[in-house]
Amino acid sequence: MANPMQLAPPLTGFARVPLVLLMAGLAVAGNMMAMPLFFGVDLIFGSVAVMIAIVALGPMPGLAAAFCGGMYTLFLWGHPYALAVFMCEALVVGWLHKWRGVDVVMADLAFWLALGVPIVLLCYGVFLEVAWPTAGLIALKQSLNALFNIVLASLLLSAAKLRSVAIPGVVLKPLKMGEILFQVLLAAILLAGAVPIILGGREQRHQQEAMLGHQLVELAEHIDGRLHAASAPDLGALLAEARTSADIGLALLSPAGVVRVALGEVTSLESPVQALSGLPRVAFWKPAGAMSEMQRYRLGRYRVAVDVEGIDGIGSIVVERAARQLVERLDRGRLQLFSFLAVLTVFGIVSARLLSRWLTAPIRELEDASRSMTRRIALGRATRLPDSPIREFSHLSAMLREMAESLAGSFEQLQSSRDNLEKEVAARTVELARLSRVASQSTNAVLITDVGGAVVWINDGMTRLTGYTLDDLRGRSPGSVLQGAETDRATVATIREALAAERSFEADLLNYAKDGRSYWVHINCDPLRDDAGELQGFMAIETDITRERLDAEKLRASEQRLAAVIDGTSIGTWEWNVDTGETTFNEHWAGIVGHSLAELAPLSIRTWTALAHPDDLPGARAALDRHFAGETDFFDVQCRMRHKAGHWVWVHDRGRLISRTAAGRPLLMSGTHADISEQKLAEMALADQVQHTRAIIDNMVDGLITIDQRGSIDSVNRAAERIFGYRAEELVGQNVNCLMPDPYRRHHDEYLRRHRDGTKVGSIGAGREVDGKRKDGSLVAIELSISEITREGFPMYVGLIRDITERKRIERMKSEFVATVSHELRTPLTAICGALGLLAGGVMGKLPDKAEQLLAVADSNSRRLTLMINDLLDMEKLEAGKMRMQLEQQPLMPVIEAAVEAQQSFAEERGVRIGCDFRDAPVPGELEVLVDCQRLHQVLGNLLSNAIKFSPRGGQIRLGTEVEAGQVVVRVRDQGPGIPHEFRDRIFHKFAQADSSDSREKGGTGLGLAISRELIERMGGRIGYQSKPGHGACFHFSLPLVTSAAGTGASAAVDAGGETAGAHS
Amino acid sequence: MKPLRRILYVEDDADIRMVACLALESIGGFEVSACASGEEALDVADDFAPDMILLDVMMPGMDGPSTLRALRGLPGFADTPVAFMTAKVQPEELAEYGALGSCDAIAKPFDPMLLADQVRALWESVNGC
Repeated sequence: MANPMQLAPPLTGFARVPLVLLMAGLAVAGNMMAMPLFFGVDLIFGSVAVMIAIVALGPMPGLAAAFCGGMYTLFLWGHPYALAVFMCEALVVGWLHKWRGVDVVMADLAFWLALGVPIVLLCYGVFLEVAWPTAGLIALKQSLNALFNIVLASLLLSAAKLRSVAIPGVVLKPLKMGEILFQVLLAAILLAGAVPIILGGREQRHQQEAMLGHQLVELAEHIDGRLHAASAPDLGALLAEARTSADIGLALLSPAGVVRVALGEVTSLESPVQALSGLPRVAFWKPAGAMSEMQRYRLGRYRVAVDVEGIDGIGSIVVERAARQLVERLDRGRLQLFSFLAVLTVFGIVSARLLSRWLTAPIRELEDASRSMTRRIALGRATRLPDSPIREFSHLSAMLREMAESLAGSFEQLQSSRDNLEKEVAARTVELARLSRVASQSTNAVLITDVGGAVVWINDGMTRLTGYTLDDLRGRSPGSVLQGAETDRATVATIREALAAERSFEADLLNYAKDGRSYWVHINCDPLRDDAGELQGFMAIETDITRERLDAEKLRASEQRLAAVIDGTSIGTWEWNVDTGETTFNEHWAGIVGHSLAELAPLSIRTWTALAHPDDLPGARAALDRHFAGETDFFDVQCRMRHKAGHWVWVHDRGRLISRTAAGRPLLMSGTHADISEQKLAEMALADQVQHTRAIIDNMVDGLITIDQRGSIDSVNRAAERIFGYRAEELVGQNVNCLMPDPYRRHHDEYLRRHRDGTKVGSIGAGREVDGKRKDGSLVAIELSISEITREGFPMYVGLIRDITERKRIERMKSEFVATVSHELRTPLTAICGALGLLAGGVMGKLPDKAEQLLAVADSNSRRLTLMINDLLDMEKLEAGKMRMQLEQQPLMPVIEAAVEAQQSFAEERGVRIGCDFRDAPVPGELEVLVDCQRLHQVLGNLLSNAIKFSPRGGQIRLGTEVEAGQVVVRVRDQGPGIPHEFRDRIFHKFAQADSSDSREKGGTGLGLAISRELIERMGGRIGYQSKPGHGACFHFSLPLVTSAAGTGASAAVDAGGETAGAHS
Repeated sequence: MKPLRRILYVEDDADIRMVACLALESIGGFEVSACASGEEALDVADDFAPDMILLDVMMPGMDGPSTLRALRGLPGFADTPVAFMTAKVQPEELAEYGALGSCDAIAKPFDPMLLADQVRALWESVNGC
């Protein structure tokens, strides 16, 4: 049974404050509602609220309530010890209950037995100095009071639980049978024990006080009698006589209330007294002051006042007696009572506990048994329930057992039927899963709509096809989601119509997937009807036919393209049934031969054979046979056909056998027919051109060899065959270096490689004279010109070879002739010069003046002839490569100085000054060059003598040197007429003179500059000039400077032939 | 040093021979024995006992070098200074002449006025002054 209190959520924090305050208030109220037992000893009820707070709200609220209640006792009793004890009690009980799970009653009992009683004894006995019996009494009273309260609190809580009182935020433990029984028993025991004791105690007090009062009244009346009996009595003596005990105080008061005579202590006159109930004539007086109520009781006095009549001056008699004796007596009696009560209480608690446990034992057993009963029933086992001597329990037990057995039986049945059901469900689930998988994994998309056309289900295929999930589509019309811009409206209308008529339909439709991709589907849609034939919805099965559609469209497009191509290229087409001869042509076919198809009708294979050139028919027939025999993949012929206009048209027929008869004979053939007249003409023109070129090349005198970039010979013309003694076929494919003697042969491949790599090496272009090697190994002098051409993107080299053997031979002969002639000329010239020299030198003595003049003419001309022959011989040697140069490193300046010196007399003769200008050379003496001293002298002599010759009389020649970039430049500047424009190109050529008349005027052979150039170049230099006609000329040559360190002692012999050795490589 | 007095001159060309003789005798004041060929030179050499011999290189029959070798074979001519007179005065040719045992060469064509001085200079250089 669920306790409603448990359902309420526990309050936390400030939400509980009102309840705590309420409990604190109740604690104060409970303490205020004191039930006095005797002097200063009251039963108070504050701890009821404290205990309720502990149980219902927790230890801390309990402690708070205890504090508030205790504060009141501080006010009530004037000492803090009760407060302390209450706090301790709340603390200990709260702790034990909350954290140790001890029942509050037992917890409280434990507190009082272990701590409460000793603390009270200590506080009251020692600190308050109460008499030990009283202190014991108070201890007993407080503990009993507390136990009573806690039982009361427990009962109240139990009652609340029984009544199911719901207090918001308060969680109470469910009520236990044992507890309630315990509480009731204990309450009964306590009430049964305590009430008589308390009542007895009160009665005892009352009796004691009544007796005391009676004694006091008697004493007062006795005094009154004695007053009345004696006239003018001695009041003091009277009183002394009447006084029976030392603790009795007597006083006689005047009518006005003034003490006339007093004996002993009469304190009650000083302050008001309180009446005692049931004893109308007795009053009780308590001293004022800061002391506990109990002490005040103990110091209190009982008083009886009796009015006196008839005696002057005395209005009343006051009799007092100290309460101490009475109180002590009462205390002793009550101590006994409380001790008994205490024993009773302890016994009651223990016995109530035992009794309640014993009484509830069967219920607990039943509870234990029933706890496992559910499981046992579920397992179908027999349930064992405890027997009890108590009839009701026994009966209940039996009934439960019966019920359990019956339940177990039903449960078993239920179990078995459930098992069956599960098996069936499992089987169906498997089948459903299988069907579901089929539906889901079907490549077809399946879609089910309700009657209104809204989607209710789709399969995975639909999701795969469209990208939409069931959630995307559910409740929506498929058309609204899937159809788009290019969906065919007419088809959609047809579909709508069919749906409206609840008919099946099939349609091809362009739909759009979620990602916007369009696709084609074939839709197969059927209405779904229930058994009664009522329309339930529609099911559409959609097949993706996008690929088929695309293929079909591609095919159509391709056919269209093909047709367009054929149309655009004017290609004729034909189809020939080989079996029947039936043939179809297109209009282009007829157009090629200038006809229309109509003109050619009836069409057959004969149409073709009739138009074809008779000479070409055998070839076409042969090609056809080869194709039919399977030797060729295509029938491919070029032949001439007669044009309507009479000329022949070249056509290219190309076709293929499409099918054969069952017997394997050719059946259908189709192909194209193209006009290739222009192509043919071009081909023929090209062939003619080739033939023409070939003829030229073959007939040219010069050899022509083409090689590829690796040096492999590509073609050789006849002249080249002749020159090298090979046949063309022997050379084609060979490395061209087979035509070269060493060292060219060895270097040629490397040379080509460097050329390929972009290191252009200068052998392309102008003719060079080199040696070739013939087939027989002999050498042939050739002039070789190489040009580079590009064929099919690759470089090719064309070598033009001229056999110069003959030319060489003639040149050699000429040189030899010149050499011979020069030498032969020189011998007589030596004699002439010598003879003339001797005569002119006056060896023969003085000759006549005329003879001297003639002799001078003869002498100078013979010298000129000698120089000319020397120059000719030098030139010949240079050209023949026979000029030996002795190159030695030496300073330049001495050579220059010597040359100037040598020309000095000639210059003087001509009235010309030679000035040297070496300002540009920082240290002219250190300029060192590698030269042949004699030849350099010759060059300088040539330049200087030329300058002298062309200088005007009185003119000046300036000779200068400059250093430029490792070269020394020597300049010879004259003030002559300069060099005429037309002469400039050939000034360094042999026998070059600006004016033929010059030779006579200026002298000279016309070889000087040519020789100078050769010599300077042999020495590694360059020669040149600058001139403006009319402003003199400046001839200059440069020579490489030799640094002293590098060139010390360097010398080399170079001949003219030596340099050509590496020219080809 | 013994002064140069007697020169044996061998030259096949009579004109040149005449001019040279004239130049050597008239200008140099030498005693010259002129021979037209190597053979003739070998014949007269012993009798003439020249101080120095001038040899043309290119001659029919015995050329200059052959004549030199033959002269060197004669007794008393092992150390006689010999100079070639030739147009062939290229460095290697000169080296060749040196190897044959000549002291130097005089280039042709020669200046007749300077020839005597040239020969004397040679003589002096051979005799180490």
